[in-house]
Amino acid sequence: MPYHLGERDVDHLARGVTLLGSGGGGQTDTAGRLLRRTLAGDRVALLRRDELPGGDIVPVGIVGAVSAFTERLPAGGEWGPVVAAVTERTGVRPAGLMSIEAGGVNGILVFVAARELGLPVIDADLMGRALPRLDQTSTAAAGEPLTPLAIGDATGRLLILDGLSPTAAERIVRSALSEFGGWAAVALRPLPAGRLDRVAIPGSFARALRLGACHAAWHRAADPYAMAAALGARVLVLGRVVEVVRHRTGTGFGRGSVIIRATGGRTLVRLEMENEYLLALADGRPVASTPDILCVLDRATGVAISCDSVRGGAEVVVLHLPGPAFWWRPEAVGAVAPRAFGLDIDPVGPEDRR
Amino acid sequence: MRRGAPTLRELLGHPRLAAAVPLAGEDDLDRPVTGVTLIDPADTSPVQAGDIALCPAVPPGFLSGWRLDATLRRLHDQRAAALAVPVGENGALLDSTRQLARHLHLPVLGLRTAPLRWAGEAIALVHAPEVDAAEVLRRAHRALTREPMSPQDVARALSGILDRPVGVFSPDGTPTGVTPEPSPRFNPRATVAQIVTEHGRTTVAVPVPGTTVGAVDLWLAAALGQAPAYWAAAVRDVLQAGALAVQRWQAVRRVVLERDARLRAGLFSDLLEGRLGTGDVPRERASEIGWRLDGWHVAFHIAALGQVDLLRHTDAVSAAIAAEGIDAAVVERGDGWSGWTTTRDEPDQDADRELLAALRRVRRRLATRFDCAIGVGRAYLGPAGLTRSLAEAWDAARLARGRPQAGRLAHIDRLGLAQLLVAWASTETFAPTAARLLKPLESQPGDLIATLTAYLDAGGSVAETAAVLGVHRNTVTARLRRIEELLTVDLANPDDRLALHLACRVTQGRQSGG
Repeated sequence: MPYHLGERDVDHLARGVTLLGSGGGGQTDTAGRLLRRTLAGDRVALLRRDELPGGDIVPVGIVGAVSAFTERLPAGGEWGPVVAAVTERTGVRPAGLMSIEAGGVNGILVFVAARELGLPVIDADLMGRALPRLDQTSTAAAGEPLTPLAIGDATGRLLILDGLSPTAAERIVRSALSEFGGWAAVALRPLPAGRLDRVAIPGSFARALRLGACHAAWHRAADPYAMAAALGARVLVLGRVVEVVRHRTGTGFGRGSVIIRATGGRTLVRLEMENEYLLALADGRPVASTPDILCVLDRATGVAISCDSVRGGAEVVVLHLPGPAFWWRPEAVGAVAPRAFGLDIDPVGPEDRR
Repeated sequence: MRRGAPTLRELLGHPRLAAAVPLAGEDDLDRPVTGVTLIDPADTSPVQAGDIALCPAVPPGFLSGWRLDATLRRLHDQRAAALAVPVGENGALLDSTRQLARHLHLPVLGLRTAPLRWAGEAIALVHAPEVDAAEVLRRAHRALTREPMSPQDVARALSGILDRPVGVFSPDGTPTGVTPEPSPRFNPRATVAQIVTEHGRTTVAVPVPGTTVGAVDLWLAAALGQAPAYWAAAVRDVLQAGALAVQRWQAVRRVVLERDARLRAGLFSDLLEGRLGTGDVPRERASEIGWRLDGWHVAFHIAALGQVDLLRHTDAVSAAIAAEGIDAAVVERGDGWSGWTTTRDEPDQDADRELLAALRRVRRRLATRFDCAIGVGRAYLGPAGLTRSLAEAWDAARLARGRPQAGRLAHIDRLGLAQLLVAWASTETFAPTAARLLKPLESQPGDLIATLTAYLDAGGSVAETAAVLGVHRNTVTARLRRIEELLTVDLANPDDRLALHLACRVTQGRQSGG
């Protein structure tokens, strides 16, 4: 009997995909409300890969500025045209949808799209967390094309790309976004269900729901270490944000550093960020890095604090969650390692951690 | 000779390394430095423990980036002494990076100069400090051997070479002019070079020996701030070279003074014997050294009391006289110095009084060096008049010696004939008589002889006597009554007064070594 995601699961889902966002991926509360409204009491099937009969799965989501998404919510009908565009071009019939990105708002919007199109959601995605670029997808890392790729909106604007490398596709999509008002719905080349193990990251939503359920138990008196253990995370530091630096110059967007001083100690933990938290140094020693996941949580409420809202003075706990195993594969790690973000340092793997 | 490695703080105290300023970790500068290793912020090649790790170039944004934190950690693990990085004008670290540096005990130095040049200087100072020491000594030698330099000029030249304040202290250790304050632990009585370190700040003081053994004429002192021991030793050597230069200047100066003195003494004896009035040659020589022989002259004589090396103080005496606004020629003569002022018109009473007041202040100025008695002559016209005034000043000075109650200052006019009589009366026959006359007062309480002397000098004024002695007038009256009783005299009787006055003056003069 396949699992069906209903309104009461939305809270856990939102919490879980927020944690997988590693400080990025956008604000999930708005997306969560949108999903509840779209469900309207109904449910959407969330199929494990082994529950799939076969067929082709279309990866969907949005690309663009997540802040623009909050200001201009979907009107309904965004994903129909883009899914139609890629399925028509490839000549397949979609058997289900999957998210391009489990972390952040894309982890929720896939259910909105599935509900609109009347398709099931497959428990897999292309990132296993939040990542900023289309060429940082498992498909691209596996050397497969992302195209045909379509971006569009509910007003009929549609852009179809084909025959382009992931990097070129990313560049063109990025430059076209302003014409779509900051963000657009996206659908990528449909993937045969049988190949998901190789070119996608299965199980991300089961993980998100599990994380969300644990995280929902966070209360004021909770022991952060016990909470971290339940989440399968380790506590990097428990303390106060002493300094937030945002680098206006240089490459990338949202570059900056957050420095946390441990409560009752002198240890300083520095987080380097670019939309997501990417690298953690304790007293100058690298202790965790992308592709692993770093979360900054409000110490009292457990609410995740995103990169663009972190402020000095906040009492926080910094968690380190293992990243998707896919990205630790030697052939894949380069696409999401610190160097892919301009941080000239090797990724801190499980064997490097104390 | 292998010294202990200098500490980072000491190294930064050296002027040649002053372009490095601690940006963080100021509390951890007291660690020995063994050398300098050049590093690249991105690579992780090892740094020798105790070395300063120096990045010759850093990428933009390095000072606020995570890379700096990671570098600090690595250097901490490798026990480096410090990290040195080039900084621009506003090279500021993040607060958290400063905290990290403090926490890891790893100072960060900002270099405001070419990093490699700084590294070269630092390596030289750590490994071969004697090269730097020899270099400053060489520069000092060149600067000091050109021409004789006064102590202040020597101090200025050395200050330029050492890039640290250098000053001149008087023999008792007080600074002259704008110079570094002497360290409280500096001991001017120990006449040897001293390196004193107080609160981490080093002062070096070197004595300039005087002409007599064990005496110090001056001190040359340099305030180094935080300085490595070898540099303090190098500075001591440099100051000793400076002391030699000062001695040389003093020797040259003394020769000039002696020559001048001999010339003046020759002219002066001509003057005293009245030979200057005639003949052109002596007059020309007199005007060459600035003596005016025409006009009205008022002479004075300053007699030094006790053993005094006159030549050594001539400059000070001239300076004191000039400082009190007296425009006078001064020359060594016998037991002191004679001088005279010259005016075109005959000076009046006011001018006389002003001169006396000014000379009283001169005496006070000289009190720190020696005690003296001053006599002043009358005003006379021309060279012959000068001769006469000088003779009067000499006589007056002799009388002034015995008159502490008058401030050892006497004008020939105020002395009057009677006192000249006293001078002539201080003979072997009169002196015992005088002593006998006053003997009954000697064993009495209340200093009766001084009271009597002051009373008679004051012309019989009780009020003035009280003021001179600093007692109440009733005390004076009571003492006078006791004196009249003890000596069975009547102080209202002029004969008694004259006899007693002479007796007082003669005994007073003998007691105070007249």
